[in-house]
Amino acid sequence: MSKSRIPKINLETYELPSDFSDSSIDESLAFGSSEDEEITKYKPIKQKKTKQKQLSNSSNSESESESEEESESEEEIKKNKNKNKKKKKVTSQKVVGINNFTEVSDSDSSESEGYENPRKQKKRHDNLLNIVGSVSQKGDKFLKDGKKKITKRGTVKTETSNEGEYSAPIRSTVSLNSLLDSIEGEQFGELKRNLKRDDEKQKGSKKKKNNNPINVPLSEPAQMRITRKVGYEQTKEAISKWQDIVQENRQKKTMVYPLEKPTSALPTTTKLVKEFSSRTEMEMEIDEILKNAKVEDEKQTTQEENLKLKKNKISVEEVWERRKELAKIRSLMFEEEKKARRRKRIKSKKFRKLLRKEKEKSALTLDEIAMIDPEEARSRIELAERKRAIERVTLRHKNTSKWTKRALKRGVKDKQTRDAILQQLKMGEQLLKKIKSVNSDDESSDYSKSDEDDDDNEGENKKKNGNEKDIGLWQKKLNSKDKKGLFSLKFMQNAINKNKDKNKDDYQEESEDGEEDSGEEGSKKKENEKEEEEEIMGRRTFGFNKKKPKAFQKKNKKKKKLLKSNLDEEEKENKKSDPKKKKLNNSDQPINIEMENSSLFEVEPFDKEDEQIEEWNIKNKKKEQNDDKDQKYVKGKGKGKGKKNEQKEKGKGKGKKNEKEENANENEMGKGKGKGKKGKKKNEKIDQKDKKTIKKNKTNKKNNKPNNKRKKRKQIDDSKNPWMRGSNQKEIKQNQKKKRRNSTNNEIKDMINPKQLLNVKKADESNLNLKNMDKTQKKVVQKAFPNTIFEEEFRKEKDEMINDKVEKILHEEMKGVIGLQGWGNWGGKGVKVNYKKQQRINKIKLQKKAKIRKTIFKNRKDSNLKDVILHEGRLKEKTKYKIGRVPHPFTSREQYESSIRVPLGREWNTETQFKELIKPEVIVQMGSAINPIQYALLRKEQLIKKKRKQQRQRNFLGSRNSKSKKNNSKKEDLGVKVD
Amino acid sequence: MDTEIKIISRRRKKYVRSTNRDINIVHRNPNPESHPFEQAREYKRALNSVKMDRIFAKPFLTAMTGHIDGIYCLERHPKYLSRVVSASADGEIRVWDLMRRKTVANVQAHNQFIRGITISKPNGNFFFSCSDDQTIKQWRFSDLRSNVNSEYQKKKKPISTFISEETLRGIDHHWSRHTFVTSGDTVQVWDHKRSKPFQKLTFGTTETSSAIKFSPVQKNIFAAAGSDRSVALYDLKISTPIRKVILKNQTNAISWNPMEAFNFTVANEDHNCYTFDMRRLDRALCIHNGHLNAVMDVDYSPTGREFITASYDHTIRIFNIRSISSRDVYHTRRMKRVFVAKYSADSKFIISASDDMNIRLWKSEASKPLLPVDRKEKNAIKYRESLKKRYGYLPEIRRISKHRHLPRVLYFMKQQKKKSLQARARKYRNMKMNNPSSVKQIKMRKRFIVKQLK
Repeated sequence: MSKSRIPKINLETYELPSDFSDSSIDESLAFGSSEDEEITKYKPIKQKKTKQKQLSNSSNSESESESEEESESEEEIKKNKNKNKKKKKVTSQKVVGINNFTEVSDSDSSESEGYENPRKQKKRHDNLLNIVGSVSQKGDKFLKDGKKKITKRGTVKTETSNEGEYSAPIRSTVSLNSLLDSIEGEQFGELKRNLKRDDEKQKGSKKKKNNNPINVPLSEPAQMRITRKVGYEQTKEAISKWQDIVQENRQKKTMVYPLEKPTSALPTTTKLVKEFSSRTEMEMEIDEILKNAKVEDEKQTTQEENLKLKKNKISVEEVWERRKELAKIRSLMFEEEKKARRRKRIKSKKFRKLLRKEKEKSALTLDEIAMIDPEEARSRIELAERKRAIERVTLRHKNTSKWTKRALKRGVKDKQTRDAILQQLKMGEQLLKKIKSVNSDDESSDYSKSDEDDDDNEGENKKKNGNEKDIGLWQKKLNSKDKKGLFSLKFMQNAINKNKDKNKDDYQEESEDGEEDSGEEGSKKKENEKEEEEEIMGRRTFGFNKKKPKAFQKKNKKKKKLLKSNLDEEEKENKKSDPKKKKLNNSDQPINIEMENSSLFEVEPFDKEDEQIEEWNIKNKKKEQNDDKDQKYVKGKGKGKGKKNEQKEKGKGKGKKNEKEENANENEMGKGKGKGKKGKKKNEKIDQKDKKTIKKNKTNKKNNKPNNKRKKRKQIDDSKNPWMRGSNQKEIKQNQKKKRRNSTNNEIKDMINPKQLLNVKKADESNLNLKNMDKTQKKVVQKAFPNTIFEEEFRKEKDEMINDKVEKILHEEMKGVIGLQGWGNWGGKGVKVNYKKQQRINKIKLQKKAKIRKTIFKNRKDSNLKDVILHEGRLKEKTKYKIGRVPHPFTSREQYESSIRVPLGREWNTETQFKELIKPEVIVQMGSAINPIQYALLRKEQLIKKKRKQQRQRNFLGSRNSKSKKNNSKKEDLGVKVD
Repeated sequence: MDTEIKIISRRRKKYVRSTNRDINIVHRNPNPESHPFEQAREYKRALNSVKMDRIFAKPFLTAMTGHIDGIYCLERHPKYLSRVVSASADGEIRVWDLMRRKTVANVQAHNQFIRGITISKPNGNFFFSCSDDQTIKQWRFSDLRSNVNSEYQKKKKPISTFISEETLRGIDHHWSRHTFVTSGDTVQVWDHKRSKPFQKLTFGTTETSSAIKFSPVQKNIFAAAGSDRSVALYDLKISTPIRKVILKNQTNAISWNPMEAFNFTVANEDHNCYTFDMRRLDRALCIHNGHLNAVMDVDYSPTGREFITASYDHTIRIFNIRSISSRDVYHTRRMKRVFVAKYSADSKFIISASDDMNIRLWKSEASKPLLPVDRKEKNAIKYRESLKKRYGYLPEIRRISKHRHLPRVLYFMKQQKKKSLQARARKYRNMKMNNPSSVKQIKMRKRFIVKQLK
């Protein structure tokens, strides 16, 4: 081998020959083109490696040394240089021998790459012998000279080796030296010398540069280790590009999957057709059929179709015939349409009726329907039943509807309307019958009996009876169903009972009213007074201020009596102050007893039904008074009076006209408001006025009606007011009655006095003596005035708590005083108690108690805070609202607490805020496959974002520019105009 | 008497927007005084919603029968949500339609145990199966329809068969190229169109690897679990293995996070799962425990937020990627040892296959409604979720939300395991106290790693 061969291998600048081919690169080509970029990154390594492979495959040890150097160079990057140098020094010695040998073998192998001729083999053999000879000649010298000379010798050796025609190294290049050697003669001596000098200079410089010899190649495992290491580092680096993306995605508040946004552009049909592959069962089946029929190809099918069409030839006559037929059909259709339109326009009822009847006739009966379609029949039956139910609930069959009322008032002249009304009534009867038949007959209620009685009495009662009947029936129903279904439930029964009670109350009131009414008729002073008393007893009325407070006092007293409170003192006072009241008080007593039935402090939910019942109570008030039943409730109110009333009532009911009644009512009103002389005077005045206005009223009745309604509503409002409910309800009721009778509005305005209402409140509050109340009452009061009770309870609780503590400590302390219980004393029967000792102990106890109490009060933080209990210890129940430590993502307590502070709910946030707050962390769109994250996609998105931003900026700038331009142009325009 | 029937009625105008663009009319009082105790109320709501969650937690949807041997391989289609391929020990492969919950196609693919199945990745037109008979077969989905009688159907033949010189224990397909890798005595890299593997990769020593998985994000990397208790990483670009970690116990399955390129989770024989960062293999990012027997399979949710594990202890567990304990445990009385569990491509369902010859379909969130919900309901659910998240740290809510019923046997196993772990910890503590020099303090996250081979 030539000496120039070695210096030529410059590791730094080593490059592959241009025609170098590598199998592994082929493999990498198999990957496709998309990741070519990435592949290029790795190219240098790969090339090196592949080179390595190739060389190692041919048993060329020289190349091994090269590769070793390569790997060494790689190592250099990683390891300390010092270490490296040491290693090289060590290895270089070993290399020497091998190196020589390898050079020889190199030339050998280079030839072996060619074809193997026997002649050539012989030549090669000769060559080898020559070389061996030369080696043996110079071998001794090598050993003596040492390191420095080795390389020199190496070069020398190459020079001296025979350069015959056979031994010429194939790949070596011709150097200047080898050419010079062939020149002989002294002519060129000087030139030779000069050249040699130059050469040596060069060599010297190269020695310095490339001092380290070629090292021994590493073992394969070691090599692999290095490649692995480098590979790992590389992949690590490559994969770290995801770091930021991952971090960002982790910190995002919400992530929407799949990541790739759906493309806005719809796929074209051609694309769809191209990509189509049958997936579902049906698609596959169709596909199969098509395949079997061999009609997959579109062109073919169209051709075939065309052919078939060509075969289907139609004659001209046929076409004409077809056309005629069509025309005929069209004309027929037109006629039919015309007819239908005309029919539709006919307004005759008779015609419609006939039509309907015809339809009905032709319609199937229920049985037939049931035969055909049982479900349909069932639904029809259901519908009918529902209709009936609605009928029953709405009571449309009664003569209570607006329409019937009006019709009746006008006088039913039209036969149709009469029929309709009759039909309604009939229906009602039927329904009633049905109900009766359903309910057991043996349960004959009081109501039905009373109904019968009433029927005898008067024609006017009918209406009322009807209503009562209904209610009775309902109640009957309820009673009958007592033991089963919904009504068996306790609360339902309670509600029923309550209803009953209420009705009773109403009856009572009515009867009272009736009495009052009769009282007025007499218009005697005494009676008037009595009436007043009664009024005071039973209920309050709105009126003049003067007397109201008194009435209130009395009422309150009544309450107190009822509640067995200490009333006597007040009574005494009253007696002293007002002799009139004496009488009143005396007269109060019997009535108090009867009042016990109705609760004084009623707070019941306002009920529409109640009102209605009330209404009809009012309507039929006078008639009711005749009923024995009602009399029961009125029992206490003086029998004589009641009788009188009865008589009068009867007389009135039979024949008297509205005028008198109204008059009476007027009187009553006056009486209700004003008491005493003044009241009476006023009443008289009002009477006169009323008489004048009666006629007017009659004419104005229609006008007044709505007014009345309004008033009614007003009262309803009042009654809804919890303050008004209990105490004023009765008044309201009475007022309602009065208003009904009284057609004038003006007086009512006077009747309602706000001051008085306020008084009522105060009176009520002052009367809150909870201890004396029933449980239910207490509850009611608690509801109305929560603070008063809770305050008391709260204080009690606090006191008890402190007392408990005191007792505890006291118990402990007393142990020291008394010693152990039962020790030091005699026990058992007959032992005398040492009272002195007991007293002493008690004294100590008291003292200690006071002391402890004092200290506790001193120590407690809440001792000065009246409305606060401060628990100073750890409360076990509260532990479930506490977290042991700051939860993971938060770093401090404050941070966590602040994160909780803002509530999330709709109640505390605006709608947009709310939506923002409740956004979930992960949103996955329905039914879409989520693909793994893709770098290219992210890059694309980034680019798009960037572009958009730029565009926006450009647009912004553009718009600004254009604006300014426009302005300028405008100015110019103006300028032109001005000019 | 006029009787009135009062109907609850309201004006449409007041409640309904006139156009779509209008603001939603909200009837509420914005006065903060009328909504006091916001924290207390929201806490209560959170508590209630947690309870409701437990009440409505019904994750199991259906069990699909058809195989007549234990099912050890299962793969979901990358594109179609309802397509799943399963393979049983008797060599039968079935293609399932999850929506109809029945087999779409079946074929007796091999005569021996099928070790692995993988679906070709970008489009999913083919799937490959490898078996103990040292063959890999490539199948086309459209050729296997069972309901259509055709020549294709009658044949039911693979498109191509690859014959391996070595045993095959697992197979996985590249995520974008026509390349797949098999594990066995060596890791072989195959191309669709070459009958022989074009690369064979070893780590020097001869060890058989079982589970093998390509990274779906950094597509040239894949990981294989070896029988020498190792987890090795390979790079196809350099066509060498790059790193290897040896753990204390064998790894049964590997799954890469599809959203975080460098993270992967490993299902281990020691009842735990370990999440690794590919760049730092000397310690685990997180140890996920909870199973009471070897974990047989692990699969990441396509969202990359959760993963699911199938275990030999007859249960499936769902883990949050950063939490130690599982979010949920699924089990049924008839489900035996679960060998495979996979997420559906939309992350809403879980498909599990066990050796009781059944494939089971679960909801990934036990108490979420399956049907589409109304907008208002949706908002309510979202509100509840955010409340749960907010107050989830409080002890009562945490307790309720974490409580899961376990079968009796497992419950006692759990107690036992707890005891043994406690005992071990106690021993460690004592040793540390009495003879500190004898105890090496190693962090938990490093304890299970034996060494790293470079």
